[in-house]
Amino acid sequence: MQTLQISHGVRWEDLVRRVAEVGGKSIRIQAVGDEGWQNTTAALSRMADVDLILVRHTDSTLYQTHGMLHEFGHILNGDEGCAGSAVGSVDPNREQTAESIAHVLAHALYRPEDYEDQRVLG
Amino acid sequence: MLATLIERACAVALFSVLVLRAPAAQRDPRARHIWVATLCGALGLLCRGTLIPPDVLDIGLGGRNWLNLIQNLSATAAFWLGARAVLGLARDHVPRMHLLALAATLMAITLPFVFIDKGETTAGRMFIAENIEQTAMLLYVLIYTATIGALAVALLFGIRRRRSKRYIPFRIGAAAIVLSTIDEILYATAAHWGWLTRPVRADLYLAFTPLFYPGLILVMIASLLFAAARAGQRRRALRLIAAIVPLHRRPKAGAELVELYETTVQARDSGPLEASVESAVARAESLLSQYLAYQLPDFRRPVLYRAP
Repeated sequence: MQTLQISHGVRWEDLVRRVAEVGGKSIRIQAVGDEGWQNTTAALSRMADVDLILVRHTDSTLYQTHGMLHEFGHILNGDEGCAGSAVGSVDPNREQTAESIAHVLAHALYRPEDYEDQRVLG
Repeated sequence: MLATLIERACAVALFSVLVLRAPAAQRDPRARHIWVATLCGALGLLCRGTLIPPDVLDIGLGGRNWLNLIQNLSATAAFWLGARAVLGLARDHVPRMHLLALAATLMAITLPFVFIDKGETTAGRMFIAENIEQTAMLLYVLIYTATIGALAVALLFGIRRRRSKRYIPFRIGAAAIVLSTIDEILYATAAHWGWLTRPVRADLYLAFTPLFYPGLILVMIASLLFAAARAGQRRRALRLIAAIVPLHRRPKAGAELVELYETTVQARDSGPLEASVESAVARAESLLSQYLAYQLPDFRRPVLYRAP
């Protein structure tokens, strides 16, 4: 959160742009694939000019989003890429780090609109 | 009689907030300011004689109306703490309204009070009305009332950009408190200088209670609405977590939504789900999606985010 200079309730666009800035490349996201993607729910390909993130479009929006956040974790961690967030990890430690980052980012994104008001007054 | 009923209703509201918000205040420092403010407000109301006759309390202080000062200092501290917390909402951190500023304000209220000829007996609620011809009393009332009015305006200023509908009673309540302070200033000034007719002054005097205390009740209701929303979310999250993972350990208080998110993702990671768990996970996703701060784009078409 401090690295990205974001706070709770961050806008999605601002979050992705901050990740792109830290990663040094633009980010392209697309929902593709189908149920045939047995072991892959999200993937990251780090190309010369863009980081490409693919998520399985048959998944729920929340799970797709988590897949994207997981790939953001790899970008922020400076990893090479990621073949799949659920299964098939190359390096369990890097996968674990990316997953931890994804959860931190998710906590910034998912919260009641009046979360701060509830904390202060509720 | 009506004034007493209104004040008792206010006491019920204050003490309800005090009891119901105690657990949140204990675990979350951001919740603590308003809770301490409510405690000060309850103390002020106690000194007003709402629950215990004022002469009983005042006798313990020497029977010369010092209770009135304690009541007003408590109310000032309550509003100051409340304004500090609410202004923090606008800036995402608690502003540095230094405690010295509060101490200076309390001193400014106390100083003229010291010079009031307070008499030898407890005057209770009539203390101000019976002594308003004294300049020290006028200054005491004006400084105290203007401070409360300014802090109520600060409350309104602090929530001016907050969009939650739960602020509706808060806005009406804070506005009523501002009106009550204007009314009190008009009354004190008119009564001291002998302006306006006696019935008009009496009306001004009587108008304070039906404005100030219901205003305070509405602010407390807003606080209870936020507390109820928070409790409702926690209950829903706990129910869904239990439906997804029946033997899941109970999450730490205040971390229910975080735990629900993690439980939901882990369930999806684990592959195909039983029908009942799938249904619970889908409901959890629907609930969490309501809490997504901003709408996501449709990613079925590629979306490019350019690096700055």
